[in-house]
Amino acid sequence: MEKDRFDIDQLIANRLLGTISEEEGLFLDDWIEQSIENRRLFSEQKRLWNLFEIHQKVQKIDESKAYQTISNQLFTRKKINILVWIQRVAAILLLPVIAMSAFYLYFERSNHEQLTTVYNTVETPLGMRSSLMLPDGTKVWLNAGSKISYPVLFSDDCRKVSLSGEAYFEVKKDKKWPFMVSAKNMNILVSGTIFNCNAYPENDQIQTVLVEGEVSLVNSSATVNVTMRPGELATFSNNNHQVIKVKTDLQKYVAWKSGKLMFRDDKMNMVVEKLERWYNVEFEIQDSEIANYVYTATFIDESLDQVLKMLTLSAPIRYTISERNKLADQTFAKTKIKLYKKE
Amino acid sequence: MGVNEPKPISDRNLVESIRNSNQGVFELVFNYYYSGLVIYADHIINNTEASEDIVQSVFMKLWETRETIEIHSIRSYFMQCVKNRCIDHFRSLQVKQRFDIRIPEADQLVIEEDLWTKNELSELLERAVGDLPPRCREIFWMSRYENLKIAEIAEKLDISKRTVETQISKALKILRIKLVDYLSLLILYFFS
Repeated sequence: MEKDRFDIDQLIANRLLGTISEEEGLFLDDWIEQSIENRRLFSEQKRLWNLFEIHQKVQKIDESKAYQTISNQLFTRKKINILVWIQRVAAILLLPVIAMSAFYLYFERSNHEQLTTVYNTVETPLGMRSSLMLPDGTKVWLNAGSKISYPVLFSDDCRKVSLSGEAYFEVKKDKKWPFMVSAKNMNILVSGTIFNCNAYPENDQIQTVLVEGEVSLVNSSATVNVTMRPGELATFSNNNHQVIKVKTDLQKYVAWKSGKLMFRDDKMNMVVEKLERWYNVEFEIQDSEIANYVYTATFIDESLDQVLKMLTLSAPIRYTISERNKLADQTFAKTKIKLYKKE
Repeated sequence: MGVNEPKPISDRNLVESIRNSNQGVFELVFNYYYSGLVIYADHIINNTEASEDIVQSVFMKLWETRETIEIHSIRSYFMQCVKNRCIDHFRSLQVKQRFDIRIPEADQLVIEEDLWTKNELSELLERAVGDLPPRCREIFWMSRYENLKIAEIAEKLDISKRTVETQISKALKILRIKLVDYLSLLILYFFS
């Protein structure tokens, strides 16, 4: 009897190990069917066997990794920051430019002459801003709807770029290597300075504010040559080539670079112009009186809707937003916002 | 020993801490119960990956509703939540696949179940295996934890396959006698 039991234990073990022969298997099945007691013993042994499988499985589960997963979702609020997004887009947009620059710089020695005549152009669409670095290390922030062109390699005598729209420059210092921005009929000549230049083609004036250093404004015919000091705003008129200089609050002119939309006693027609570029929309002022309203506010990352609501709170106006119509070329027209005087 | 042994920190204290947004306690409870709950879910739905998702979602729900939640026993709270989500999982499978999948009745799932945490299981099994005679323990370990085949063990230890089988049979017999009281509690793991 004892001998039999021992054999049965071995048979059960072999079945669990998967090494049981067909003959032994039949014998074991018979034995299991013989009594409830036998069945219970077999099932206990099988459970025990599986228990070690569970144990192995449980040890493979990585709770710290799992905790990482849920704590990421629970404890770090992901704030979708439009600026970060814009930066990313800008970075992607700039990749080809950087790649191209690197490629050309590689052939710098042999192709130096040619490179100074090959131009890169970086353009920001309406509703977006970007930043870039020029070949000499100068940093440039481009506002919405602006365009800058610069040679792949600056020539030895001058670092010359051309601008349409608005840009903020942090020019790499080099007294012997002048930096020049040409915008329409005017050139801005600097050595190492920080300044903002607003030269949108639709405006008949160019506004320059100087943050640091020194700049000279020279018109295309060299009849005007004005030197600016930090904290000054110079308005150059394209019509009569006159420059008017005033002391100003710089903040208002350079805030856009850090994603802020700032208005300080600005007339509504100018506010609207900025909003158009910032959000890529169109405004229509229905009552000419509105254009003369003066407005002061600062917006940081606000949506167009929020900005419009603020406008209606601080001035007696109301607005309607038109539906975006499909155009002949299957694209959609810009969102159009009409401003009315509130009765 | 085992499931009914009182814990050094009471569930009430733990729940209170979680309710007060104590992330450390939340993590502690997570680490303690996570693996056991995954195994538990896996035995109901037979899908380890989905089980991990289910258990994670239960913990996330706990955190998100911590301020208003009423828990008397953490263990049974988790088991109930996981079970409900497993049933949801079956339902969603049914909808997705548009054919009849048998949904185990909720009542059916309640029978004789208990939850073993990783710690509890490890403690129980490692102690029992540790008490086996040395040779027997070595062979059993190679078979069950290192997943070596009989032939591989025989070759490694330079003994006959027959000897390996005999030693494993011996180990199982000793372990069954030692663990028989717990085996009935472990029924949950052996549905199949």
